[in-house]
Amino acid sequence: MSTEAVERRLYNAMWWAKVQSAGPLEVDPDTPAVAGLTRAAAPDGSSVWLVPTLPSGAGHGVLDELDAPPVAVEQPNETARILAICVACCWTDRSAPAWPGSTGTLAQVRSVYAGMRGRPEQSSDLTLIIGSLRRLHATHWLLWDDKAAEVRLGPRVITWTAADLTTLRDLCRHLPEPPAAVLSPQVSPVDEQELEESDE
Amino acid sequence: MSEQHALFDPLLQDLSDRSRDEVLAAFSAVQYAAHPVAEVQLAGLRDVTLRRQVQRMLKLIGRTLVHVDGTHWTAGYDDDIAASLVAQGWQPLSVVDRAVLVLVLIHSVAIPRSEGILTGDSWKSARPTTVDELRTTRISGEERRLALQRLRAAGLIQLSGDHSGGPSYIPGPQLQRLTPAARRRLQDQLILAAAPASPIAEAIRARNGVPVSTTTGGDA
Repeated sequence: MSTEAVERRLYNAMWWAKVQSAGPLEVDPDTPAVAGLTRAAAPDGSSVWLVPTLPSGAGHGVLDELDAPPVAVEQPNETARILAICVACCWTDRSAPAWPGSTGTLAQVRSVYAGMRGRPEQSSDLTLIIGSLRRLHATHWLLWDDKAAEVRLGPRVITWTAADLTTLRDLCRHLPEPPAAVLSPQVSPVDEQELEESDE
Repeated sequence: MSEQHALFDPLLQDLSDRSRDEVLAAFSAVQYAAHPVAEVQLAGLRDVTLRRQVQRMLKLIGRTLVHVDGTHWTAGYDDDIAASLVAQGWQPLSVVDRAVLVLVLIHSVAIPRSEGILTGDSWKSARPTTVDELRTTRISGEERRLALQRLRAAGLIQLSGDHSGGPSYIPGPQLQRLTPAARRRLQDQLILAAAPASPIAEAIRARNGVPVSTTTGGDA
């Protein structure tokens, strides 16, 4: 193998090791391409996210058949519910790809959550919602801004296929319509005290 | 759907459809299953030729096969890649998360091992670390709570089944992804941190040839 080929292999392997240990990475747009890592450009073009992709036939789907579960997600039902709600709130142009989508607010998420449950909001809802938002942020499914109480879809959604998007479009039709987003850098309705008891 | 994959296709294109499926299934199992998978369960692990292809795929992404208990396989970071990342200062875990993880490893593995209760070089242990043992004046309760949450989500620690004295933790399944060299590094670092003046620490420094800083060589 030529020196150049060896160096390219090492370059790819290093970046893959980084995204496996830290999750998708936000890098300078000038960073050279890495084989197998797709690029999700930030809406303002100031950076790109490197997101791992796998050949068809590989990935978590295989684990079900093997009865070998992945690392468990805590509160999986709540977490999946909040991801679905954020898709409904942030993927407003459903003829376009889900990434980068638009910015949604905590107020929208709370409203759709209560609508989905078919009852007025309860005091424990916020704890569950914030816990799920943080969990999904940590795994890059969402980009959740605690201070602004605003959320966007995370770079991982760039790997959703046309078939996935068809399923999600259908799912969004079954969710309550989110109210209009009122974006403001001043909004911070998250009561930190209220969140202290979550999860431990 | 059969989209091109820039990294893996050159390896996979020469395989028959059946071999390709078996290699991809084994690759996915060692990469994404929380626990090591049994060799007998997958042709891609049983068959030496197919397993070599799995290993080649893993090499491309900085990983390697790790044999567990002689019967199971998982994947961890390749030692050379891990060393290069460390040399670059790469560290995805915050200092608080590492501190809490080290406390769990000390109470659940290092102490039982020094008492002869745990044998071998595995970082698997059933000895729970209680929340009391994790209390330290250097880390606030809230910081500790969030660190425990992140470490659990990463599979680096897990709740122990023993709830008699409140929640307690044991090392998570990810620790089984450590290669033999990484397991030894972690053991050495804990000795250097816990007993830097001991003869065994002296021997470790001599073996490594250089004074070693007290970081944890975790495979997270």
